Amino acid sequence: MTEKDALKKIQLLKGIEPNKDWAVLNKRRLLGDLRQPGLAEQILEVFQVWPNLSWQYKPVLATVVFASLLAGTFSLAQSSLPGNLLYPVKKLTERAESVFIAKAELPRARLELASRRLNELAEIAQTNQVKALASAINEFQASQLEAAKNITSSKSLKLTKEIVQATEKIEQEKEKVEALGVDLGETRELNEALSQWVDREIKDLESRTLTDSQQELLAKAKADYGEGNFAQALEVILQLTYPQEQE
Amino acid sequence: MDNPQKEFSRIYDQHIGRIYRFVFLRVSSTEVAQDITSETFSRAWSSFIRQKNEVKNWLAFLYQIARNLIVDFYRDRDRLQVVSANAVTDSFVAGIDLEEKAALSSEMLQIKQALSKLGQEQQEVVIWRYLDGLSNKEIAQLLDKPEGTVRVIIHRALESLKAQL
Repeated sequence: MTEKDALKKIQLLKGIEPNKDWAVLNKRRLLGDLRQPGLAEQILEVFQVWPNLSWQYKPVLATVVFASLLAGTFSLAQSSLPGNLLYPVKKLTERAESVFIAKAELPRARLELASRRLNELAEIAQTNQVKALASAINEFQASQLEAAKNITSSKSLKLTKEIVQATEKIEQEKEKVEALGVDLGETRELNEALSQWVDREIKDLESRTLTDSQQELLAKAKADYGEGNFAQALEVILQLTYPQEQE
Repeated sequence: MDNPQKEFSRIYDQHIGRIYRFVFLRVSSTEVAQDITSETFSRAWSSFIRQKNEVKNWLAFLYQIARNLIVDFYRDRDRLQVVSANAVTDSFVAGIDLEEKAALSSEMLQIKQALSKLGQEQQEVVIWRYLDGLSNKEIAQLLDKPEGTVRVIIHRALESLKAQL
């Protein structure tokens, strides 16, 4: 036999391989399971170690697990929609948050909530969840009513601007939802509150001495008011009252 | 080192095949080969944890552990044979177990038998040079011998194999 033939035969031994299952099991035995455990497995692990824990640590672990579950529920609830099991938790969270909002900021916060309700409504309409539709419309109506109750004239430019922006956002979202074929019903209370605010501002401006350009702006605001575009009218009034800030 | 388990897992995956083959060709049982390979990586893992990144050549390090374990295995086996010759199964003495027979083709078995008739160093250099593709220099480092000596061992090993095959 030549050297070449011998080498060729030796190469056949390259076919010797360890059994794949054995190789994997052996590695796992040596290094443990390298796969990241899922959430459910992590929770199960807590219960597995529970009997071995000394009594001093049990209340601590129980508190940690309870707090984690609570935090998980609240975080999951934030993406829930009207009609979902966790939706009341979401509303509870919003109500708790509103306790910490300054009184002057409440109108904006309420308008933002109404806007959030409209977003939920849009999602429900888009995903064709017919059963949840009525509940979502009621939620929006209730939120716009709450927003209307909190709308008062503000002397702060920043807050007034924020209210105008939030109101405009609601108008845009309403159009979007109505385009999906959802009848939102009247938002009379919110319109009424805004109308009263614009009316007060117009009357106040009429009692003042205005320049020609200010007169022009006031006329524009009146026209918007007459057409029921209250947010737009408020925006013009802002330009008139705080011309420097508008530039 | 971010995650020692993951780092060593890469070393394991990279070398398990070669180390197992090396051990399997030196012993005559799948089971024994698995035990020795497993122990080789277990010891390497302990060193890895202790010495962190001090090992420069993991393959050479693993071969060294495996060689020592094979030497221990044969020493223990010989001792057992002295104590009680009946305790050693016939198939084991013959050098081939049934499981091994099932795993290898007849041609592979013939080469393996021929290889097992070489001396320890000759077997090792044949495996390293022709199966693992190590250079003479690397083999010289593993055996702690001059390259010239390694060339001579390879030459003699091949001559013996040719004669047997």
